[in-house]
Amino acid sequence: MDHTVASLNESVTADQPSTQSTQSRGDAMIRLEDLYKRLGGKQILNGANLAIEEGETRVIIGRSGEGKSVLIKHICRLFQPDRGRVYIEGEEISQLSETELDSTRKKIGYLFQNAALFDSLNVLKNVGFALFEEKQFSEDEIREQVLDVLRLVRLGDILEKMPSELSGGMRKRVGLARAIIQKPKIILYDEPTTGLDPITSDAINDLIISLSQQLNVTSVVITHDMVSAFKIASKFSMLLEGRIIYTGSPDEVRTTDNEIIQQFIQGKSTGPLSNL
Amino acid sequence: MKPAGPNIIIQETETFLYRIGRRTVDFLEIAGRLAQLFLETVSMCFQRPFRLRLIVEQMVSIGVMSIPIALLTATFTGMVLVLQTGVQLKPLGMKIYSSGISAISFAREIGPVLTSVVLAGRVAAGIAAEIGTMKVTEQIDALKTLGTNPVSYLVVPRFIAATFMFPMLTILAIAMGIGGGFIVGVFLLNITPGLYITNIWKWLALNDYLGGVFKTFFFGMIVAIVGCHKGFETGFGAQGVGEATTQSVVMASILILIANFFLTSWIIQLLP
Repeated sequence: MDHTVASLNESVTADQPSTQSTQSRGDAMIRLEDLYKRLGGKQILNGANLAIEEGETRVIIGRSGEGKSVLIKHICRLFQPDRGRVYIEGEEISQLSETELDSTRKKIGYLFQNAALFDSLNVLKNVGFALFEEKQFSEDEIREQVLDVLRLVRLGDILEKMPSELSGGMRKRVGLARAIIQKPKIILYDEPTTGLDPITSDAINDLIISLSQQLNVTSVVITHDMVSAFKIASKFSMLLEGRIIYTGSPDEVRTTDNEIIQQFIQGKSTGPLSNL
Repeated sequence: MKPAGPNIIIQETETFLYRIGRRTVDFLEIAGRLAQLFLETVSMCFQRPFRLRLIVEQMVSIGVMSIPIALLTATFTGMVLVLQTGVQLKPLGMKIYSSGISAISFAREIGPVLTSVVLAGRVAAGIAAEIGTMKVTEQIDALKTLGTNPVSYLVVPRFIAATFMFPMLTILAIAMGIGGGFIVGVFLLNITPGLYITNIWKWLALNDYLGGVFKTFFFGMIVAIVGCHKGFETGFGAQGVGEATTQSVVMASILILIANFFLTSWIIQLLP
């Protein structure tokens, strides 16, 4: 099995780090180089490499507990790597202080798995949170901007509603509205369709595609929903044993003869992944 | 039975030393994290943005909402204190002094410490549960991605509110405790109201009151920092939140009692 993983590693070239090691890398919107992270006594990332170009929608696949969320949390530095580097638009961010990170984080929107809306704040305060914090706009101006992004995620005037009054699909959309209100260049989606019915899931997929086109953002999506993944992805990457073992376009993923990839996308309980 | 061989003794000794070492490292780690959070919070109290609305909200939550429990506890404890003192002094013919003695002990120690420990139960648990829930539902991560420092947004308002509301509640609690004692003194111990008040007036100095209240500024800080610390350190799921809540109450109460000794030693020298 190790042999299979090793051979896959060798077959990937797009995400391998070059020997160049500088403070600034301008070749990709997001570049993760040789990331290592240990959490709770377990080695989660084990030399992960990933390069994502501007405007791309990269879907990260992998089994539950493989560390996909941990991987994308490094992109906005919610985790600091034990070893390795993270570049956003060529700027190395893994050693920046929290204050220095502010400007980088404004470039990134994050849709959390359960939306992570602030329970004690209504939709207006949730979606407009970053704008209220900046204090650059009046409340009326923020209200207008919030209504605009709510329209973009196909929600009406629900400004006064509390998160507890929203359905699962609405919560995801409000979370998405909050993620895009500062017009980020990158949006990270952590399982955007999990727990939603197929129709609402498809509506979220359409939203991801339209936001990607309208706002020209670079998207990184974690999902186990293969229907969604093939609909939205411009490229796939698979995380296994703390490393990206495969990167390819949807067509390449469909036609690859690699057993691990095929087992995963077809959702078979038997195969090489089951023995790992 | 065969005597333990030297290898077993060495192994047992190593295990014993390992446990002591482990506990010491754990203790120092927690103390370090608490100190780090405290220093970061104090420094952020003086940095923009100043969140007055959040501070007022926390003052209501920590202070105003705690008035019933603080006053109820103080009143009945004040009543019991005078009753016990009076009963002990009665055979000596000195029951009239129970008012002054009780008032001093209530103003200096029982009022501040009891109120703070009772509030620690309510406030530290509330803070740890709220922040812990935010942690497990990724709301803390969401704050960071939106460019907001969680210490500035969550800890500073609670820290300022607790630091100022604990003394306010203690002032009220001491007054109610002495009031409760007055009722017992007059109606159960049959001390005349005038004599009861005169004795309090004669025995209780302003320094007694000030010294007691002064300590609660620090108790408020302890409760807020411990509650926030345990909230941030919450493990996974509902179990993690439950554990954090329990630990916050235990840790805050113990730290209040320890701090009380050192603060009292200091205050006795300042305000003898």
